[in-house]
Amino acid sequence: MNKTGSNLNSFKRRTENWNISTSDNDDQQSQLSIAGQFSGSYLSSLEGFNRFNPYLPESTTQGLLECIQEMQTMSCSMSGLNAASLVSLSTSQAIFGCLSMINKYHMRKKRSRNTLLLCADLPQVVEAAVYSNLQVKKISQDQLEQNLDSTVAAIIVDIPNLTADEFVSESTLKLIHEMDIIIYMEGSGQYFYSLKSMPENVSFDLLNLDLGHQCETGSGVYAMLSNDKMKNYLPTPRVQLKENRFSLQTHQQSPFSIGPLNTGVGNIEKILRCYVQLRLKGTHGIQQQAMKAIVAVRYFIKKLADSGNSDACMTTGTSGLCCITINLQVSSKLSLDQGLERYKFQGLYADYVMPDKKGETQFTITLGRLHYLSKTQLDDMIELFIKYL
Amino acid sequence: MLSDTDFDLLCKQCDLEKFNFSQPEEKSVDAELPVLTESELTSLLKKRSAQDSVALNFLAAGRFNNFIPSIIRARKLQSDNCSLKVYESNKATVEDKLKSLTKMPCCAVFNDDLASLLTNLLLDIKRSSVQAGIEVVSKILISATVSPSIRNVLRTQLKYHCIDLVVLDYDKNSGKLSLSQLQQFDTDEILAVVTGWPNYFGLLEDITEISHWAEKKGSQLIALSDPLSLSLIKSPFMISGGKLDYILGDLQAAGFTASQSGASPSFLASTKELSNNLKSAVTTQINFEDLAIIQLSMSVTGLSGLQHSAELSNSTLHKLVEKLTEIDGVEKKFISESLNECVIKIAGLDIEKGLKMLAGHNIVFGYILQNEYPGLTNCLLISCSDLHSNEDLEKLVSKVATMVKNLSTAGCPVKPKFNS
Repeated sequence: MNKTGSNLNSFKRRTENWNISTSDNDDQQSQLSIAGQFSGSYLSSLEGFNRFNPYLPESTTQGLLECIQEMQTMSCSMSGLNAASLVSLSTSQAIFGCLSMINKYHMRKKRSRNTLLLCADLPQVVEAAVYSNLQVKKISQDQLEQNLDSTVAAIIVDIPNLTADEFVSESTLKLIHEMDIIIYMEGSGQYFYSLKSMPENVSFDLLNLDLGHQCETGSGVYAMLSNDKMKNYLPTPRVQLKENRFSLQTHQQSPFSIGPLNTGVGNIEKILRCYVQLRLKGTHGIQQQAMKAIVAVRYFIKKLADSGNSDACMTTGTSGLCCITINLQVSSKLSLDQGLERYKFQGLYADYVMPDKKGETQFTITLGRLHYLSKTQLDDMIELFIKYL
Repeated sequence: MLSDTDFDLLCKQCDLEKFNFSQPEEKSVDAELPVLTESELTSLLKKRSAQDSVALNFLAAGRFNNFIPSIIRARKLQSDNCSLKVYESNKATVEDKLKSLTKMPCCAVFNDDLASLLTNLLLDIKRSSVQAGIEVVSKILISATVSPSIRNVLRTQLKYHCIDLVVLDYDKNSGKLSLSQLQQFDTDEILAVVTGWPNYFGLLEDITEISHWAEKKGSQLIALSDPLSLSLIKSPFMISGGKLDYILGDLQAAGFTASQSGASPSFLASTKELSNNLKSAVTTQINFEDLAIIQLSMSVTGLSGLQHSAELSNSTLHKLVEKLTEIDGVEKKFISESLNECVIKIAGLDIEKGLKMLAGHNIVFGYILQNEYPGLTNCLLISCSDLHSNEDLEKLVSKVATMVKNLSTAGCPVKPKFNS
């Protein structure tokens, strides 16, 4: 055996001798993202998982519950918060869940608070607030301090300004904490990013993390995350580990919870697709990918602006997506579409919103996953758009 | 993929130089859950999935374990986008087929799950009454025979809308919503009545009587159903003589696995065009991937295929129940002629202990109803699908017979059915 082993060693090629460019690692990452989507579809439909029924005895669902518990843990790790509940819902329903937690928190403290200070452009929050009996007051972050009063239930922020040194001033933050106002970060439809790039003094009580978007499965899976203050209010069921057994914590076992938002534990297939991406890339890999997405979009917009097309392209916050408004005849639109095909093959996401009325030529393209392209490809694609704008 | 070098370059050009992620942060959680290669992850998930595999499962509780054609399974592995034209065409095809099943003139499919869609519909009905200047009534009657999990989600979602959700008790003998429960409510105070078609026990409610009552009181009548049941039994809209206002249903049976039930897309059929508010602001448009699966399922299987699957499940269930009731102590509690789920009772033994004993043989027999329905002691909700074979039934019956014998002779004797 030893002899064979030493023979093998003499033939073994040393990896440092590969002598290829650094982009090998990048190619691998790119393929990993696409491979993750294929393996996610395959692995989430394994027989033992797709027969899951929340009414089954827990002894027959330990494998799946372990996956969900790990996802809860990884979501906490990504966000810096310490309790999570997974739901598979539409964005509005997930936001409604967070607003219900805010309502219940103050109701338990016997406070009549129904104002939400919204420091972001989030129309879905405005819609969901109507369904939660809460009043939205839209303000800029600079106006925060002057709007803090005893009716304020929560402050809702989008992802903060990346270039700011601090989220709000120390004195404002102190006041928010003293008044027991909840800080809720709505991450729906947006890329989350490394805590390292967060402004220094940011501290959230509640976060709605769009895991489907984050893991690039687009599946409508959300992790509702909270700190200790809010964790008892998270929706049920949550997976818990007790005495080496995984179990579903029900509404009866958590009296302060807002209750279930899904029948059962949500869409298992979609949840598992996110799990596959999380395990293949790790939380750090997901954060790296998110930051690349944000920067790629910013670069794209900047280049279009530099070429005199600043009005045509926009993005909100750090969404990793951008919308481009184009005015083209149908024949030219087809050739633009053909031009984009090769980038779509690399993983680029492109979705068209066509004009409402006949005869109109202006349409919008939403682009995402620009980070799947190399800089050269990105520059080529920018050239393509400049040609049509 | 954007390389790290290119990323740094782009950051500089966009004035975002503080972005630096080359060193992972120290996170104990990541250390506990290491990044896996695809082969490692495949092994792990195969192991966990095998751990969760149940050899014989007769528990459904509204979640169908029916056969899914391989073409639909294969379609799920693809994630290609489609044009708006194809999307609209798929949507129209699916909605037409659902109109044909429900016999209702209007129908729409949504991304929202059944419970969320029901919440949105109830809120829309309330909003419409307010707009029409009708005195605000906020009582919604829901039958206890509607799935408890749907009722629980409704309770969460309707909490802040000043809507009083009243659960109507069922008749202990028939397992259906009794009219006397409805009759205790006065005129004009009820916004809507919600019932199941079939109900949670697999029975058909007296929809004609309920619809007469609802019409007289001016309340909306909503039936919760699904395509599989509707392929076999008549639409409640027809039975009610056109007096039913809405049918809502989970589309799980149209190409989704049991694990997606309750979170799969749903449909809403109605007598009149849906309000714009319900169509756009509150609900979510179905995504193209799920729509393609439903469309494919309804085309490949077809409505006749759905019917065949439902018939097979139903006949298998009846065969099973006949065999089970030959065992001393096992009796039918609630069973309908035409559906794939029913309630049986096993008297004179500790049912939880019995199920654990069967679980030892990797058999899940059914769902104990006692916790949610205290009147149904020792009752089990059981179901059959088109995947159960005669051998499966034989195996279950033999194990149940042994279980009953062992448990009932251990201190809880049951009265024998036959004197031998």
